[in-house]
Amino acid sequence: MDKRLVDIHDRTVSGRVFTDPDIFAREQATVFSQSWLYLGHRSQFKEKGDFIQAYAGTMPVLLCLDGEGGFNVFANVCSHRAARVCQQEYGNARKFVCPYHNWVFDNKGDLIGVPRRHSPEFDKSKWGLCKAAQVSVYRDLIFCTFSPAAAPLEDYLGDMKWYLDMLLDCNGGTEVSKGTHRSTVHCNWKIPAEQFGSDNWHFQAVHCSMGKLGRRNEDPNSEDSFHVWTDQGHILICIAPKQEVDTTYTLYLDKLAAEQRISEAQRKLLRCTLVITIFPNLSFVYFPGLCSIRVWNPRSPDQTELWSWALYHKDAPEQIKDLVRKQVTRLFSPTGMLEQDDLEVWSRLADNLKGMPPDFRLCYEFDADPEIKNRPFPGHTASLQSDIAALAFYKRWAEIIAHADGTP
Amino acid sequence: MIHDIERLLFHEAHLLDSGRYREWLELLALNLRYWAPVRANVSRAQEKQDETQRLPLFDENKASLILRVDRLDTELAWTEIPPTRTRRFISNITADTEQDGLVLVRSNFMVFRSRSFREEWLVVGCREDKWSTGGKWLLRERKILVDHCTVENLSLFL
Ligand code: FES
Ligand SMILES: [Fe+2]
Repeated sequence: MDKRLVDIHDRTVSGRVFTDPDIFAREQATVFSQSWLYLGHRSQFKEKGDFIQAYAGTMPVLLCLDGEGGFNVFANVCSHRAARVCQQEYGNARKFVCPYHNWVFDNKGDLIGVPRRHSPEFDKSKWGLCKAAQVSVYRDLIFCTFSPAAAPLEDYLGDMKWYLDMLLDCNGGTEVSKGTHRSTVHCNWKIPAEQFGSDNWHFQAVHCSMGKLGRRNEDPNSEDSFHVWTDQGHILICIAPKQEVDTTYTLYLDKLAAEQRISEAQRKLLRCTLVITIFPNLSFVYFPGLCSIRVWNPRSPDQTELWSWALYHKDAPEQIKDLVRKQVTRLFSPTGMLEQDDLEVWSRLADNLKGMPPDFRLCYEFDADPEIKNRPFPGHTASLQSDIAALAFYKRWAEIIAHADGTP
Repeated sequence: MIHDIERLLFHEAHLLDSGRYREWLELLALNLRYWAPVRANVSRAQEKQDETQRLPLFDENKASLILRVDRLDTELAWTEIPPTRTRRFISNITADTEQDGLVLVRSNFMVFRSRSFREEWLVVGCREDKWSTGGKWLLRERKILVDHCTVENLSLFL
């Protein structure tokens, strides 16, 4: 019997979800072509003509600020013979000349020049680069979607906006660090995406070395510790601190509160650890003094390219920005003392999955303390001692891939 | 002098490959700066120009390196159980005396890493060190340039 990939009733997920090349192709055609995908941050653009490279799922794209101040997203894949049009990771350009046969594109992705003589029937307007259907900015975060029918970005983010606003809007907006941490993660992109918004459990296990050094300050049993999930598949972990210890960063938060630049509720939750996944592959990890924004770029069923940046308030003192950059580097980078353990576990489990029979299923049964479900916070709340958030992520994923165009 | 420097760097490599991290820490000056800029896929000039502003792969002082070693010593640091097998090759060593008794040392490295049953990776790059000598060699500054734009899990000291 071919069981469903995601069984909400049994609360299990098929191992094939993380290994099968057909499923990987199908999710590119559905999840990554219909969802809003994070590409970059407004602070990466200073002048007209600035551009960065990014990925929209597996598709290499360019994100460009045009002469009118609009953001444009198009494939960095030549419409002639698919050469990589732009090689620089970031820079400034009014036009891009493809190195292969020198077709010329403007920074909206339109074909504006072909160096050879061509027949009068050749229609340049037909051969622009493959463009995103919509580009939209939410509090400095730039997203695109390849679906013209996709609901507006704000609706898509839904209840998760309230939590994102705490990170993004409490002191005049944010900026990201220059330079990108890039690492190869040897597992399917969904494994980290799921873990980031829903797996508080692993903190005590895989990161116990940091716990032993007294470097963790979390109380998963507190009233302010909970999971959030939304119907869009966004998921979040919030863990209150065990003790309210004053640090350079919490004193900075107190100062913002005194200046009324953040609300009391924000100040309280900003003392917590927040780990968020915006469906499908954008994640954040925050605790006082550290904030990382990251994208899990799918490369193949068992390979993901993690791109991550430090994120901090634009108006923060230089000392605070420096603190966040250092903490991100030391904890959540390829050399990071927390990241390393995750990377290792993920690569071994991905290797394991390849060795298992097709009917092997993973357990998402945990659901302790169901009374915690109604906390006064936006979205559906659930106990940290549960797999409810993780399952919500896969429920959404399964709904989308089930409606693949032309495929059953 | 180049002979002494060579011996020093080989000794350091030996300590790191044998997991003798406490002894390695003794080679580091109290006011050490240890950093590794991330590489960027742009022109050489541009890359050089942005180097100090880019988020680094390492941004350490002696205290933060001690913390990293303390973590390994908990014997709970997942990534290194069982420990990665590393073998490093240090070459192309040059040394120039600077002011204040500091010696500017350049070297290339190639580190072979093997983990678990068959995960293997080569980390390649170069280092620019400043060693101070006042009887005992102490590392005051190290800039590490890894030659990879996208890296693997980097749970090692370079
Ligand atoms: S592939 Fe770009 S011009 Fe031919
Ligand atoms: Fe983790």
